[in-house]
Amino acid sequence: MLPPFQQGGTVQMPAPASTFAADVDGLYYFIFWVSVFFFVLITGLLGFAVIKWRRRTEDQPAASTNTHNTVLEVTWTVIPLVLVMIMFVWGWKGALNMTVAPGDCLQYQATAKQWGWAVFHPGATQPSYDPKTGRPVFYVPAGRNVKIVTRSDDVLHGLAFPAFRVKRDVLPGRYQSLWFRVPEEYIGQTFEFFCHAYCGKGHSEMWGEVRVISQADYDKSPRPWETEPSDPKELGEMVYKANCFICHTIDGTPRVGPSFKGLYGRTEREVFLGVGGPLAKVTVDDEYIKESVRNPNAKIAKETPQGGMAPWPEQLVTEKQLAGVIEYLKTLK
Amino acid sequence: MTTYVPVAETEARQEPGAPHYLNVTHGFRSWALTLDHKRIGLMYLIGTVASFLIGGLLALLIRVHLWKPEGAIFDPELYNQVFTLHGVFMVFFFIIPAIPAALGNFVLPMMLGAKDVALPRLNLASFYLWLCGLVLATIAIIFGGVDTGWTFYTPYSIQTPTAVIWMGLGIFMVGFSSIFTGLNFVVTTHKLRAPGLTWFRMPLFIWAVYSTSLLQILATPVLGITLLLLVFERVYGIGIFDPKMGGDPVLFQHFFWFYSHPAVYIMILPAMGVISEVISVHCRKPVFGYRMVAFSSLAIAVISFLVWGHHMFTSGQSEWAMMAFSFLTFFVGIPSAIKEFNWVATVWQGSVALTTPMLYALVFLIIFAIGGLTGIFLATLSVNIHLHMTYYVVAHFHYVMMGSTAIAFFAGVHHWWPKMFGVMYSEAWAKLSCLLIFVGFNLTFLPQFIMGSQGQIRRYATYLERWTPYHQASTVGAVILGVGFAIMVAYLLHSLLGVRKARRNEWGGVTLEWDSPSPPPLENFERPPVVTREVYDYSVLNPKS
Ligand code: HEC
Ligand SMILES: [Cu+2]
Ligand SMILES: [Cu+2]
Repeated sequence: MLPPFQQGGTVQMPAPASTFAADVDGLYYFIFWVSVFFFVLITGLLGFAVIKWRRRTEDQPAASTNTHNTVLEVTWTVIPLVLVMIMFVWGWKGALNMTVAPGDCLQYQATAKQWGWAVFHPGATQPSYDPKTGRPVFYVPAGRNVKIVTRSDDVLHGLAFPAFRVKRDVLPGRYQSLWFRVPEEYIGQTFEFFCHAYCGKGHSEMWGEVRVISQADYDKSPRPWETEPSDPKELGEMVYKANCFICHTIDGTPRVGPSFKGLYGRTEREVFLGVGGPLAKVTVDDEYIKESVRNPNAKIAKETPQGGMAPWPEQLVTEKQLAGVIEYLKTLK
Repeated sequence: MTTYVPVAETEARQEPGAPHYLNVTHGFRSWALTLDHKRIGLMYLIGTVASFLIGGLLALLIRVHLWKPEGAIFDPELYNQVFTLHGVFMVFFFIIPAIPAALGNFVLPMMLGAKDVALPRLNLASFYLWLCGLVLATIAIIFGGVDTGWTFYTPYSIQTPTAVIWMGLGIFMVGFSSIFTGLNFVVTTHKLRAPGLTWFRMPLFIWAVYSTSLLQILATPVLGITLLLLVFERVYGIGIFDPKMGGDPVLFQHFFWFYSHPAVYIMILPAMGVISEVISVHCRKPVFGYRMVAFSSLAIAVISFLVWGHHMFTSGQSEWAMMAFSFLTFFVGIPSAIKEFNWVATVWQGSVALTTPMLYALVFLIIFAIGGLTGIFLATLSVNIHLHMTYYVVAHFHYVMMGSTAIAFFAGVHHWWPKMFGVMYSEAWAKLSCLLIFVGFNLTFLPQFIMGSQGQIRRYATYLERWTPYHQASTVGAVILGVGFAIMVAYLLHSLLGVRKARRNEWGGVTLEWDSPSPPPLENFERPPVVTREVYDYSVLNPKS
């Protein structure tokens, strides 16, 4: 048979890595087996009838023209009704549990923008990424209630944790939140989170990781999410992978924005001074890059007169990181 | 071997060479300006099937693209356009009009014993509206395509530079075409029933199309208004949906699903009607629990207006709203379950002929069972939250839309084909293609249930390595499905050469359309029909019993 994808998971379900999972999976499998029963019943009866009463001669009449059986009809109305009411109440209780967060939650923040996440840990001043891959990361202590408050900077996004069985739409102009608790036995494991609401080109790239750690590791100083590469080039590369790769390539092909290959040091770069502004020529130096990141619409690359890049404030890309980006760009000859 | 000749046929032998609706008049104008419901139905049939083939081709491209985790053929931008167009074509240009406008147009007046629909000019106008919608959609594709998904969710649909306005107006047109068709059928059903055809002697197909028509009239205007608001939002920036201007993007979802949930029943109800007819005729037995089936169509139509919020359980709606929507969703499922049991009971002790239409009906019963049962998972709140926006949902609605509605449509096409064209297709090829479609369909969508419950999100142009085997199985299934449909197109076109002429009452049906030559004359019947029997009374076919 098919192997389960994750340790502790089943063929149909990922690892049950939150306290909601047992209830959700229990209900899922309850519905599943009820469905299997009815499916086998229906197809079994159908198969039997088709074989037993198949038309052998062209003028064969039906074996019966009976069109009513009150007992039967009441039975097949009432039994499904009772079953679905059980499912309804069970499911509603489970969902209530998910929507009402307990009071003692560690509070995280997740901001979505096209097309990436900025994950802020409690008390953190900058978002956290995996130093190597640039993927956004949540470090979550096992056994603690965790609440994530979300907002979007542009369109609808979604925050989905399949292993925790929770999910919430991320809306512009409105805070939304979800919560969960990971049992201790998952310490050391990593799970994914995804954007589930279609948001355009980079939708499928808006995923990141949740690393389950112990309370002791969570409290250690520096906090796990506070470490970032010390080498400026590596730091710049991390920022690039985290925030920019979806629109800027490093191999020369244009994507949403111009490629970074050979960008730094170009002279006579043609830009518009604002949307609909006059054409001018600039040299791509530190200042130009900084302005392009903090205030992209001041000078717009000639190829994309409408702009298309949202500004990156210091809260999302720190001064130190921006300096790293510049060092990184210098290496892309 | 003695040939079985239904009584209806012995009564009125068809005069060979008598003119019928296909050859009474000739030339382009005679079709373009026709008021004959049968010709209009045929034009819809060609149009909707063409849309289905375009949508199907796009689906194949999607599946081929998803062969590899990083995507095999498109960049994500193009992929998004392809899945959007697939959805738009399949939903608005194929499934919604297919059964009511194509089969309904042809069959409904004949089943009622009428010469035509009540408002033939409106009927032609609605076809041209549909065509205008198609033209606008084509313009939208030329002017940069659309990448919003068929749901047009704001604020993305406000911001994307693609041709949302053209597409929105196109669907607006198609919507009105749908409203006019609905209106026409309601009036026709009320006014043009043959003498003796009381409400409870009406075939269940009529009941289903009648319920559908009510939905079309009442729900579609909401879609029209919503799309107009979206167009205004883009052109004038009126700020209803745009959060930057204080609008509410979630309001759009409410409006959209207030139409689009009933639209699910606009798609499935007429399909259920077709299945009732096909099973009854090919099992030569009255539909079990006729009144229950008729009333459950109406019940579904009414309740389906009250469940739209089940598409938005994770959008931050209140717990009470969640409770109400979940409860009502379970409730609307019960009539569908009852119908399924009724159909099985109709087959039970029937005279089951394994003809092509019947095979499609059996495929429908199996697939609709899976489609309906997987709907229960989604109606359940806590499970819904896990499955929402995953491939599980994709698989579920393809089981209901493609596997049930489209399959029922093809059951109907094969059932009424001899009536429509007076010719029979090759049953051997038809059965082979039905088998391929059944196998291909399940291979395409069963793996998607597993991917979905494992957490694979929908509308992803790229995916994680570990889903690869499931995606590849699904792609293989889609190719088999494609081959099945290619065969179908081939043998149906071949049948038009007229190698095998159809009989007047090819299957031994007792509804009125079989009481007319194949193909029918312009005015449908040789003499005005009068109904003296109860519905589905097959005893008349067999004097011996
Ligand atoms: C949503 C897509 C998007 C993202 C994400 C994005 N950019 Fe851009 N970027 C653009 C577009 C479009 C342009 C061209 C228009 C302009 O200059 O404003 C651009 C232009 C630039 C330019 C000027 C390039 C030139 O050829 O003159 C720089 C530098 C730049 N971006 C840096 C960044 C950095 C650093 C990041 C990551 C922190 C980033 N961008 C993230 C879309 C994006
Ligand atoms: Cu997204
Ligand atoms: Cu719905």
